[in-house]
Formats: sequence, C-alpha cells, structure tokens
Amino acid sequence: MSWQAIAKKDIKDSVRSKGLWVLIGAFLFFILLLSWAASPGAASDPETVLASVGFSYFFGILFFVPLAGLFISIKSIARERESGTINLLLSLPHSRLDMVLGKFVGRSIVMSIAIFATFLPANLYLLTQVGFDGDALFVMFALLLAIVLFGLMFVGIGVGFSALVSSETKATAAGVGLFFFLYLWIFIVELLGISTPTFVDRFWLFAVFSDIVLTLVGLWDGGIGNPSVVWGASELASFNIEEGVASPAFYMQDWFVFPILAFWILTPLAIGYLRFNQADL
Amino acid sequence: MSAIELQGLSKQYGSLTAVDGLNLQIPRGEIFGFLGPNGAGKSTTINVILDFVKPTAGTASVFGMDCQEEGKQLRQRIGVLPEGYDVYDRLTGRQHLEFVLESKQADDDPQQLLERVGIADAADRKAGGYSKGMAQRLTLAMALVGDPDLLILDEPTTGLDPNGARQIREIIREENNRGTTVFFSSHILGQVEAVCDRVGILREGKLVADDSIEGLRANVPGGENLVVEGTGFTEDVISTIRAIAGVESVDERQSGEIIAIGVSEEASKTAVLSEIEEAGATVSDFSTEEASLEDLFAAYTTTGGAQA
Repeated sequence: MSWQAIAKKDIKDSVRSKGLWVLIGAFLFFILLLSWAASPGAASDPETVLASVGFSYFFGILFFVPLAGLFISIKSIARERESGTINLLLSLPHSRLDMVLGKFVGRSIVMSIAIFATFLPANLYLLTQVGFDGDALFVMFALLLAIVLFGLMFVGIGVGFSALVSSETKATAAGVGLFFFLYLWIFIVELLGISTPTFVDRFWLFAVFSDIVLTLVGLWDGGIGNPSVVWGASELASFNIEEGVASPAFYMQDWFVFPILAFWILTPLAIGYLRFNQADL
Repeated sequence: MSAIELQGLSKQYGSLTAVDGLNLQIPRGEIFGFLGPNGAGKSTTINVILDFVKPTAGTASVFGMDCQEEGKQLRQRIGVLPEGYDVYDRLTGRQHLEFVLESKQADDDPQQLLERVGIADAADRKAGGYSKGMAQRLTLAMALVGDPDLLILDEPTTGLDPNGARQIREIIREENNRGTTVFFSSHILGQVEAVCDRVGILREGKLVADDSIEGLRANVPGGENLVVEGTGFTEDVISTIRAIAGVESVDERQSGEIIAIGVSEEASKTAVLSEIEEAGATVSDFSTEEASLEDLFAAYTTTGGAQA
C-alpha cells in the first residue's frame, strides 16, 4: 500500500524533529506538575479518580492536545511543497490521495507517541496516588485512549489545512488561527446573536473531549446512551418532575460523539485533498 | 507505442504562456536531449508529464498511459530527477532509498545504488548535511531504483563539477544500453551533445528544432564566423554590417576593435570585408572559425536568430 510507505517515511522524519521533543518535554513537566497538584490522596473508585484529576488536569489536556496536534500536522504537506521534497515524493508511484492519507496516518502515530510520552507518566503517577485497582486502571486507560482519539481531531484538521496552503508561513498562520478558532467559535456564534440548537454545542472541543471520556468510562459501568454533557443544562431548564428525565434523542447521546469526531477529522481532510488534488505544485 | 508523447500541449499561468502547443514523440530506447534557455518551458513540460501541473490544453502520455489519469501506474515505470526538489534533511541517504524501494516495491540494494553514484560513504549521514552535488547524486540513485523503463532527468548536471557531470553521462549511457529511454533537459548544449541521439530545442514554449546534432548543424545555414580585427567599429558601422546580405549576426568581442560576424555559406567574405572598409572602419586582420555548437544553440534560442 502506497500510503503506508509515506506514513512510515513521515514517522521516521517527524520523530527526528527537535521541536517535537521540546514540546513533549515541556508538557510532560507541566502535566506532572498538574497531576501532583491535583493528587487526591488515597481513594480508588473511578468517579473519585476522575474528580480528583480535576479541572486543572482537563485544562492541561484541552490546551496541550490541540496545540500539539496542530503543531505536528499543520506543516506536514505545506513544508514539503515549499522545500520541494514533494517533487521527490510525487515522482514516485503515489497519488495525492496517498500522500494526504499517509500524512494523516503518520502524523496520527506521531501524535499518539507524543500523548503517551506525556500522559502515561502522569497517569501512572496518579495511579500511585489512588491505588492500582481495576477501576482506577480502567479509568486511566480510558482517559489515555480518549486523549489519543481527541488528538486525532487536530491531526485531521491540521493535515487538511496543510493541504490547502502553499507555503510554510501560511501554514503557521493557519495553525495559530485554527488554535484560537476551535476554542472560540462557539462564543463568536453567541456574540453574533445567532441562536443554534444545543446539538451544535456538541462540536465544541470541550464537549467533544468530555463526551469521549464519558462514553469510554461508561463502558465500564455497562452504560451506553447517556446524555451528552451539553444536554444537561438545556434539559434541566425544562425539567418536569412528573415525566422524569426523558432519554435523549440518539444524536444527543454520549456515543454520538464518534460521528462528530469523524466529522471533524474527515471534513478538513476531504476539503484539503480536493483542493490539493487540483493544485499546480 | 512511444515512451513519451505530447500532443498540442499548452500550459498557461495567467497571461503567461509557459508551453505553447507542444508536439513531441520520443520512441523507446532513445536518449533525448531537451534543450532551451532557462524559462523556455522545459520544466513545465516535465511537470505536466509528472502530473505536478495540469495542462491548459493538449495531452501528455508515457508508454500510452495518460499522465493525468494514470499517473500512479506510469510513475511505477519511470525514474525521475525533478527540478526544484529538496532532500529530506532529517533522513539519511539510505533512508531515502529505503523509502523509494518501498514505494516502488523494488528490491535493489541501497548500498550498491549509492556506490554507483559515488556517495556510498555518506549512506548513513543525514541528507541535510549533503552538498548540492551529493544531494543531486542521491536523487539520481533514487531515480535508478527498480530499473525504470524511462528516466526523466531535469537539469541533472546542476551543482556537479565536470567530473560529476561526466559520471552522470556514463550512467545515462549504461542505463540506455539496458534499454532505458532517457529524457533529459539542460540549458547547456555541451551536456547534451555528447550523449543524445536526438535533441529538441525549446524556445518560449515552442519547439524550434527537433533533430540529431548533425541534423541541427546542417540546418543552420553558414555556420561560420568571420572574425575581424581593426579600428572604428562604431555602432553605425555595425548596423551597416548587419544590413549586408548574407550576414546573420554581429557580435562585438572587444568593443570597437574585434567583431565576430556570422555569415552564411553563400556570402562572399571578401565582399563583406570591403563593405566594412567602405563604411569607414579599418580592417587590420581577419580570420574565420566554424560556428561552435554553442553558437548554434544561441542562434536557435535568441530572438532574431536562425530559423530551421
């Protein structure tokens, strides 16, 4: 398979980037510091572990993962175009689709390496604080998997936009712009006075990450189909004591975060590819 | 079936026409030299063949496969040294070749390929530290992976010393003896004349000549320079000389003192000399020299030059 050769080459190339290791080193320190600050003392049930991980830890994730994901991916194609290495790559029997796919897979693996290098030590440290029982282990594993899945969202967006731009400078600008946009769009929509259904809130990165974690943790309790984190607030407002809490529509259930995640990954990749496929290099 | 076939190929960038209705057929087994000054459209033509750019009109095919539709399959059969490329700074020479081997599902020995292009001792160094010439050799090694049926080399001797350029020509001959068709571009005629079966000269996106070197020489009338030494070769005198029948070009070699006049075979040199004196210049000495291939190339590629 053609894209596999590209992904392999790309991983070999990326892991030799000094910038990547500086980023990982800085965040490893940062996350360990947060973990230490958030460590709850002895407690072992999953809810307590999750709660004890605390908001500060979540914010660490919500800052590091988009930043690292975009940093790793935003130049992936633009850099090859600007330097001319793309002329070597596309002289070989690879299509431009192979290149986009290979870049996405390669950078996703690099992103996973970065996440493991950063969060595995932090999670192990937290486990020493709460005790190594099955529940805690599962929650930590679920959290790590959730961070990886969440990371793919930014790799998809980054590779997609990298295929859209023709220079490294534009790619950097796109990366910075996207970083802020992905946090702020929901507030911008609100400021503009556009009223949107609650469903739209599910696309916000905070909701995406929380729903992935809750869905995965829910698997341990055998519960699937719980409401999304964004569901509560609006439904509570119209809470009717006689009817109780109605089960949410399927698109407001926690697991529906996976189609949303797929949307975030595939839409930028598809747009980027279609444009890139028509471009003169 | 031709190795390369271009039909009415045009490429426009906005209002700029880079390639203008190019027709070209390169049979299998040939070494074809694609000549032209910088900016004539050579790289654009190659980039269409490689599907880096989309043609505005016309078609390009390699071994009967359309370059736009079947690019992936056709690139399996070719080896390329593209223009404006860069190597992957963080990967070693060997890793570059491993990438190509995997991409083409070939099983050549990377070390052997690196030896062939003369950089075996740098195999495990990062290519970011290579000189321009070493990067060029590495890229040539990458082009040779999988015994391609067609080699496309865009300005392969750029950045190489004369010895390196000679090695490249040797490799081109070896590959050609194996049956490989070679298509290579250059803006330097000397790089092409030694190895090519056929030469195409591109000027402003159009093919102005397509022939063997001997054929080209025969097509340029005259092909002789009359070198005149003396005094008083003012601009007026030079324009008078230009107007003389049979004079094709006038080149000042040393301002006011030595001029080289390209004359056609039919022209009488004695008549030219006497007209120079009549115009007011003094001739102290003169000699003739056969037009070099460089002159010939210049004649094809400068405006107002010979038309074959």
